[in-house]
Amino acid sequence: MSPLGPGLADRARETAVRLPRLLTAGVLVVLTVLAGSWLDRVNGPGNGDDRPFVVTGRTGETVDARKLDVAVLGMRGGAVITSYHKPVDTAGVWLLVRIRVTPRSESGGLGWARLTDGRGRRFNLTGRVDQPMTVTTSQPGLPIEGELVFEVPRDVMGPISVQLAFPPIDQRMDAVAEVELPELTAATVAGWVATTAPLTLAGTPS
Amino acid sequence: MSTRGRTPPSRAGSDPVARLGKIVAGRTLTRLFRTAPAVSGLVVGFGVLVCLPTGGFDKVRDDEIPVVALGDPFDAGFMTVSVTAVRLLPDADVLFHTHPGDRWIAVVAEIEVTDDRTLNELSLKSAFRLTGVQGLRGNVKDSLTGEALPDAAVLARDSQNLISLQPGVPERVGIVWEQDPAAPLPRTAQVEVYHFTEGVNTIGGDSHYWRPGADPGAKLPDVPVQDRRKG
Amino acid sequence: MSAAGGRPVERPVTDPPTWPPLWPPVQPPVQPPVQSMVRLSAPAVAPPSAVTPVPPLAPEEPLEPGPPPSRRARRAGHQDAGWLRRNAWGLVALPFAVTLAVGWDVHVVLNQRAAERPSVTATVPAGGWGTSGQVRYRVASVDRVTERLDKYGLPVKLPAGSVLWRSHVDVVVPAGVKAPGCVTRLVDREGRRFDDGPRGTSALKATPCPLDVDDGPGTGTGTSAGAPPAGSSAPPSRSAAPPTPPPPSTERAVQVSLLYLLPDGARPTQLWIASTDQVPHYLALTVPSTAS
Repeated sequence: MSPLGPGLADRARETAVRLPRLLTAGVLVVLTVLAGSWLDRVNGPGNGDDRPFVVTGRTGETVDARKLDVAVLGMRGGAVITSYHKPVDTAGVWLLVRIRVTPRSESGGLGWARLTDGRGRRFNLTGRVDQPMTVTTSQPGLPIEGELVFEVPRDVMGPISVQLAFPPIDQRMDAVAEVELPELTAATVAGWVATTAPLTLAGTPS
Repeated sequence: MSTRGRTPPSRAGSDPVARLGKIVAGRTLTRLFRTAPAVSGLVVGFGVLVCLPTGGFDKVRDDEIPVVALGDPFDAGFMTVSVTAVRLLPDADVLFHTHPGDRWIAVVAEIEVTDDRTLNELSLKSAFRLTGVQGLRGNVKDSLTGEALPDAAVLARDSQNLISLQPGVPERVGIVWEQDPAAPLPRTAQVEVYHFTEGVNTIGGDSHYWRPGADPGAKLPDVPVQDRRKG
Repeated sequence: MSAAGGRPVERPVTDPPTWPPLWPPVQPPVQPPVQSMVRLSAPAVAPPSAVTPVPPLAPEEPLEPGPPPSRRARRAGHQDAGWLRRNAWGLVALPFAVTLAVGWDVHVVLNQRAAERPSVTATVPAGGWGTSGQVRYRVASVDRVTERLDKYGLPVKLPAGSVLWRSHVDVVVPAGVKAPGCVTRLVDREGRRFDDGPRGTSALKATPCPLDVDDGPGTGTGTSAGAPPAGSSAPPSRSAAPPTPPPPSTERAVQVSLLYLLPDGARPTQLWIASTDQVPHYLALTVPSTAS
């Protein structure tokens, strides 16, 4: 080292030593960011920390959905349904799921339901017809029975399942009951499409 | 003896603040000079490496928005749309005026949801714009372009307010705007449809839809407006 | 000649001119050259063979406190310390960081849940008075409903498997206080909570808690059956009250009557009650054991 203090050569040598390290650090940072964003994309929506707790069951079984006990009792379908005393038709087919809901420790009722078909398509409850099961509440231990109405395409295929939960809007960190519905064949759907007599919802009179 | 590279304390003057300032500035500048090439290189390299996979270098959307003819279906991301007409509608129970006497202008379209989930009314309405028509109320405006979002969506099947569309179930839909009756009757209008893709919304863990930019995915220019107010 | 810092100094092979030390202790910025010089020539602590052997600073040399170690020296020293020592602070911060990262969303949702959960501020023994807000309450009785006809004279229709219960609650609203109304729940042995006035009971007679409304005909009506401890006057009737009455200047005592639907076999043990402005903080009034 020169007595005149650090010279250009010394500085260059220093940078030469530090530069590879800095570069390595930088590359690692970039790789981490890229890996993180790839993971984010792969994992899909949300970070999953607060996803609902799914409890599975089969038709006929009672499933504990935290605030409610739910049971799926059966399903039927048709081309026309009666709502507010008027017939309502569809370009698809109406699929009615019969359920029984019993509040557990507080009064309440079913808030949310969704149907999933064999192709992974998810159908929310239709807004085109009256859905009394979503607005009826009961006291703990006293069950309510009724039908939920879904509008599905004519090419709907099994296996289909229905998800049911207490909160109407935000099901995060709450229980969701997932019940597999009876087998659905193309013949069944065709039969429903051919059923033009209007269906009337069955259920607990409110 | 040379004292290059450092500040002899005796030369900096008697003011300690100035001395300190010189030491600090000198030191920082020295450091900067020494590491600037490395740091700059890293910053630029980092920027480039991040922009590459995330689309920063993608070609900016050009001015050419694809033109679609009436009746032709096209892909709008979460749905397939085929615009069939633009009409002035008569008053209806399901349509609520924000100003009495307003006119209703509707884009009539055949829509099939191609996404894997139920499409809600809000997402559907946000895909459509009507331009070339004066006096649209624009009760809700596009935050990006300031254009008027539709005021209502009606299902042709039962003439009811559309709440949602189910995947795979095609429907004829009326996307409706409210117009000030003092504005001239439109003879033609341009319909624009945005292409929406799926995005992530942490609320509820659900996805939401977003559009890549301020440009529509397709347009139908000069669509003649049919007057159906008398039914 | 050695540097004041007590570190070996590389000497040029030629005759060294005598110059004063380049690194007086008060000049930290000058230190890095020393270090880099050492580094470049001696990656390890051991002096390189190229360097003219210099008498190492034996311990017998006076050890002056050298200039404070530069950041690089500290870092170098640090490398030698164990992984734990190097990352001690990081480890301390780790649980907090993880909690924050994971817990934020969870915290938000848990807060929502907590808000909907009712809490009990006080448990009152059977026959005792409790206060919620400024209003005092006491359970007079909780019985099964034996009426067969509703207020329209029609037979009472109940959901299968259910039993109708009625509570009588004494309510005292102090003088000058606006009656806030109340919310009640009947609680059974299993801790299940039943709302008052459920679906299916609207056709049956019930008397709600008094509620002073700002506009309109005045205070809610109440029966004045029962024996309140303090003197009371009859509550003003609906039709006679002025449009916006101020809270009465005398204490009001009223008995309210509320209905609940319980599954067959359930036994009420507590009546939770709260003035409307106190919800979700309830008083738990123990139900008299004479409840049938």
